[in-house]
Amino acid sequence: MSLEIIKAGTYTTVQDAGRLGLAHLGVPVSGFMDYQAAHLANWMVGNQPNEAILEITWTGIELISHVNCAMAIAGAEFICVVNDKPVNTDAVIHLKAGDHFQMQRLMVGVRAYLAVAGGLGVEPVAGSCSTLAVAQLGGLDGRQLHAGDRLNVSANGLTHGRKKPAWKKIKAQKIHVVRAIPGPEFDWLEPGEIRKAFGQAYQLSHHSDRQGFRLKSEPIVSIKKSHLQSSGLVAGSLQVTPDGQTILAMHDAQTIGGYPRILVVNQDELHKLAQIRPGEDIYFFVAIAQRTVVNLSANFQ
Amino acid sequence: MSEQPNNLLVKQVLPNGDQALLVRFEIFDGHLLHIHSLAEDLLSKPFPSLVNVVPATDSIVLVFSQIIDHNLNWWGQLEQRIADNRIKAGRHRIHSVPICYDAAVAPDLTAVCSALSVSIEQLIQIHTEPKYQVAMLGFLPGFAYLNGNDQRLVLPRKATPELSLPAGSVAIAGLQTGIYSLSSPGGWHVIGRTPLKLLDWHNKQQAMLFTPLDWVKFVPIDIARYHQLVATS
Repeated sequence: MSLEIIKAGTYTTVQDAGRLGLAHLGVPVSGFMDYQAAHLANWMVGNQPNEAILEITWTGIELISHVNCAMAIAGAEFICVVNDKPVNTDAVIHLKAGDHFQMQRLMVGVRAYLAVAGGLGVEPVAGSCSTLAVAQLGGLDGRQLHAGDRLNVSANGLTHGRKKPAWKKIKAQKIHVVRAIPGPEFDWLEPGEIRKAFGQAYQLSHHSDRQGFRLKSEPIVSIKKSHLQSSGLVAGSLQVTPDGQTILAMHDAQTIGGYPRILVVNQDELHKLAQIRPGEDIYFFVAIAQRTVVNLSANFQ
Repeated sequence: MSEQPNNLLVKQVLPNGDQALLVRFEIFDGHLLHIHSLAEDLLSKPFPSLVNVVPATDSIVLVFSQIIDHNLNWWGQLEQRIADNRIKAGRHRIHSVPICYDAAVAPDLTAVCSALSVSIEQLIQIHTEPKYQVAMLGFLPGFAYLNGNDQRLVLPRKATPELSLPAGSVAIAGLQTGIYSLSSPGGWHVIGRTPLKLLDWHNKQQAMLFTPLDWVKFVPIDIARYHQLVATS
């Protein structure tokens, strides 16, 4: 009664909505990088939106099903085959015991989400099934999937499932615009540098994983060199490192950070970042008003 | 159990993204106790949709599960919580932590001694002298930042972090000693290793050995005892 992993891909982990309420002990939230795609895959097979599912990064997986089951894929688009015959990934894929499923070429995006009707049979640890590899926590033994792993999925009589609406599919694009607000330390920059930081294009580098995305851009010069006391770090924080480059904190980032943050991406836009490829341009659309208002109200105290 | 008022003064309230607030406080002697007491209060009686509370050296970050209205009077609400908060003193434990200062398990020991111009014996004496306090847990789950380093043991962080340090590594940087709860990259200078496990996810009651503001006293052990304790833990 299981799915047997034949090839696990570059980086495949079990994820759900993440682990809340433990940040004061140093435990990051983790969870789906692209929650919209994850919810869609779960919806297609009739699961709860936050059911644990496989997050598959860059290269697809290959598996043999030892059970009759139904699954769906959303997010990054792969060419997929069952027993070497192409299958439509816009609909639920039904596997019979003995079927061989393979994800072949990646066509669009970076991260695919594979949901199995009834869930993956993974037990939550510290309140979540999400894998936090750096802490050997959650998921399958706290690590990425390996060849030979077995997921104890239950047989599922799902007969209908739902189709993926065409407009929900992610599209290849060269320019990405992500909304944000000024970060807590944005005023560490000269006005000219602020204009540059908020206006310029950033490119994803190859050093980009669930902890953080290293971005490439014109260097940003921070003016106040005084030591910043580390404070709580949220996903989407754009941190300026001493060399003027930036690291965008993602879901597995450490809970506390000490680099100045010039902007923080709106949380409901983070999922867009999960599908951006190295070399593609990212622009941050920064709503300045948010910051000003709080400063005013603070001054009235 | 004695109680005292929480004397925190809010210095700054800033948006930390559209779903979080960064609250910075004025610091004073012993202020950490007040920060952790407020953090505990916020965790036990959270504002609506508050999902994470991250205390640090001079701040608390509040993380919500939805977009929050940054125009609300958060400053006033926090001041009210601080005014209502009572600090219960004297309930923090003292941990006796065995530590092996031996180059075999502490790769930087020799370099640290020469950089600080002390012998290994002196370093052990100076480092085991103070009673340290757990300032915060973070960076990694269970990583313990301990305040209380002797002024004679102050070194900046390494320019280039090591790619992997084993769990249990005890390291110094600035005025703090850190204990690595997990094997991880790290930029602090490793001067010893403890056989204690700081983190055990299978312990459902208490996964982490320390809680913030606990006290730590290091007890030197030799390498034979270290291996013995590792084998029996």
